[in-house]
Amino acid sequence: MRLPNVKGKYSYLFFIPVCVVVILLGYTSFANVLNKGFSYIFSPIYRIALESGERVLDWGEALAGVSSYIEEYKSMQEEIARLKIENSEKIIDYEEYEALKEQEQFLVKDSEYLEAKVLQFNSQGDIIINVGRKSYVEEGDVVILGKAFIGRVFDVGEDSSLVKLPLSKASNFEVIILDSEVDLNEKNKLDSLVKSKGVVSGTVDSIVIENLSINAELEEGDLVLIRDVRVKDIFLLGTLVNISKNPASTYREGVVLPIFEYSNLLTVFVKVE
Amino acid sequence: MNILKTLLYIISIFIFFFLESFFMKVFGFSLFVILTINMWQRVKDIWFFTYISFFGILLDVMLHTAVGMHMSVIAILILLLQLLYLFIPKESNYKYINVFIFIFLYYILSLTMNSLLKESVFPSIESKYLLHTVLKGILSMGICILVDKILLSMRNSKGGGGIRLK
Repeated sequence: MRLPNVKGKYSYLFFIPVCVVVILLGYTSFANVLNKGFSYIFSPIYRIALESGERVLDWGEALAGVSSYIEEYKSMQEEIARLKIENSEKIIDYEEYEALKEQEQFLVKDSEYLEAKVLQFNSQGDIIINVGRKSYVEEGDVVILGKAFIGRVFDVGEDSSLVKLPLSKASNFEVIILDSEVDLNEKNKLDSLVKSKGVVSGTVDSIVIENLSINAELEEGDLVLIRDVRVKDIFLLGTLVNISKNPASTYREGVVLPIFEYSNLLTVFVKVE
Repeated sequence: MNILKTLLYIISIFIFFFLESFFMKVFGFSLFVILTINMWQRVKDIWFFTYISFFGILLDVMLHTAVGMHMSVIAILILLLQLLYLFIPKESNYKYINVFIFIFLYYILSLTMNSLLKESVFPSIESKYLLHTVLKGILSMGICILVDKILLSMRNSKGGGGIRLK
């Protein structure tokens, strides 16, 4: 009766010689048998576990260095924005202007341009910029980037302002349509080149253009320029696409493809009067 | 029913090995030692030592450590744990100090024994490694406390059900 009790209580002591035997077996060819058997079954799991662990570690490292990635991402977005500006310059043939500052001097020399950073993009078609009343920004000021129209200041705070983009439902402007081949850099009489007039309004997802002349020879890719009394100057809005073809209608409509992806904007200029 | 149980055990082995490898890779943290200390004296000795032998050898093979190293470390630590229970009884409020020592020494002994068995040299244990081991010991101890609480609450809820039936 006593032996089983002792066995139960001190069973771990019996395990020690077993361990010694296994260690000794490890120095024999039996180790190879063990190795092959276990490796065959468990190697795939081990590899998957290590790969998963590696991925988690990579993510961990990425999260740890997220601030530097954000900086990098922002600088890349700046670069993209700059490249887009260059692209738009090609469209309207601004050869001599590469930097934004230079562009602002070019636009209207009697106006002052205030550089602003975009703090937030709202999916409803608004952006918040980091300049406000302290920088003499007023409601109705035009916000541009190069020769491209971004929006109008809708609400002014002390250090920030809300800008309504053309995408916003609250935005509508008078526009003119020009042929895509028109060289805007040349001092032409724009009126003679206008294919049609129209009105653009935002629908959050897109910019719709209406009241286009039914007789105008409009083509996909024609330039849409804002010429509105509230804007006071002519700015590029985008290109015309999806022109309606309803012969029964008294006017035509379409969609304006903006030259910028507004959500990617980082720097804009406020035209201060 | 037995087939189902066996199948469940086999799947558990694979899952446990996956988790052990995964946590080892990510945190250098062993689930094997946590499960070991939680199973000790909670399951029948035969199952406990089968588990230690199987996983010990499996880890030795997969981690390329000396065969029998994990088994031996656990055997030594079980012996030590029994000695520790003489000073800090299992029923004591400070019983988790034993758990901490067990886990802390597991990492130290694993490194030492593997180096001794495989390379016949004593490893250099840096203060950074010791610090990491202490942290791992504390974390593992926390997990053990949590497991104990869960088991206790499960037991209580079962007991409570019994009273309600009366």
